[in-house]
Amino acid sequence: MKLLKFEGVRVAGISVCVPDQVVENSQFGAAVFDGEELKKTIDSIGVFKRHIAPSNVCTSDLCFEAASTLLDCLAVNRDEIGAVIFVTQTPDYHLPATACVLQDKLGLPKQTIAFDINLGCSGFVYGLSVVFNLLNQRTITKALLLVGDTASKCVSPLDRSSNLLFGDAGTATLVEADSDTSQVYCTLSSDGSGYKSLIIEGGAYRLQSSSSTLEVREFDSKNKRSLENLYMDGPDIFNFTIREIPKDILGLLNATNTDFKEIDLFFFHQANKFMIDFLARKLKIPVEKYPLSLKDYGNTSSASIPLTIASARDSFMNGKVKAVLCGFGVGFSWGTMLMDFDGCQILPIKTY
Amino acid sequence: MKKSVFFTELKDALMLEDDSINESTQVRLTSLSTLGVIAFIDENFNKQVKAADLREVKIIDDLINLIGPENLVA
Repeated sequence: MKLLKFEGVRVAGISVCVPDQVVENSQFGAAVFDGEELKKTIDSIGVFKRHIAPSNVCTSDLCFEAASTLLDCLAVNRDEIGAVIFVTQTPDYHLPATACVLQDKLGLPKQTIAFDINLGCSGFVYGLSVVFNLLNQRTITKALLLVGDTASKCVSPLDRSSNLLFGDAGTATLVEADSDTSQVYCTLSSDGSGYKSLIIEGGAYRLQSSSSTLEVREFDSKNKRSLENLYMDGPDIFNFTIREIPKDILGLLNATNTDFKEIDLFFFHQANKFMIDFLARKLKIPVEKYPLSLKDYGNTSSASIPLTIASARDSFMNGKVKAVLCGFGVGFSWGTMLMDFDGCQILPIKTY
Repeated sequence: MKKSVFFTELKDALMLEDDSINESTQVRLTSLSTLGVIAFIDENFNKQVKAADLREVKIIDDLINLIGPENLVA
């Protein structure tokens, strides 16, 4: 395990924006599940409703709203922002990088470093580590990390393995240099042998878009999707998660001489309730220490950790919070971060 | 683990409605019940079975072979 250490950086604020359109799973799922099966599935994944972006709303629009609100509420001069990093797997275009579009739209200076990172479930932790590294340059004092996805657009409504799971959200996190902060520790890992377990196979350059990739076919267990829809092998991902994540979290805490009891809150990627409850049981984390946002928002891919932080904002009102953030999934890619939230402004979740 | 306890708890993991199950009971694993079985085996036998192996399971006895029959007592 490679331990990364960051000093003199802090998360100053988090803002989240979700589409105002809400889908109730009990109604949405009725077309492809029978009654009892639908109830069992909803109870197991823990997703009762999801916010879904209409076709004319992109991830960047949700992140733009979140970022604008955050900069305004924290009274940050846009000229102070030295970098804007956009983490998503649902960009506006194949090219250019959406971060460049957002730099201009947000009115950030031309000296702003802007680029995209193509990661999903682990994206918030990876994104923070990249931004923390940039802030080590003394010339950058503030940076925006924009993280979000509109994964619902990629899912076939006839694919029962994923059609009730994914919601959409965009988030903005303001990170700043601050010499008076505690150290942040992080591990980042990858296992590309699992790349086929969560994939949109068609529509990019390995398998270019064609009538064949767009054709909806019946795959395993009567699930219907095209090669340009998301394919998810839940059991494979579960295997990966229970193999890697508990030892990653324990490894980070051991390497930093941190006692489990010191951790106020654990923020897991919101894969699904069954998986998170299992992880928590395995790690003996009490239920009050791992907030969930699945019930009202579903699995929002890269946005799920900041969204869960925002949904638990009351917990941050009474001073410093020592937290573990753990993102894991598509890639496979995973990252765990140990950090203190001290004076972080977490705004109420906004709809768009 | 006692075999009787195993059958009772496995029934829950498999989300089966049947009153009782035995070695020859047929198994049709869905995505969700596969997660349940992986979790059940991990928690009770400290063993990680691969999703790919579970796809080959037809009856309860196949599952017992994955766990290792020596881990169950009468």
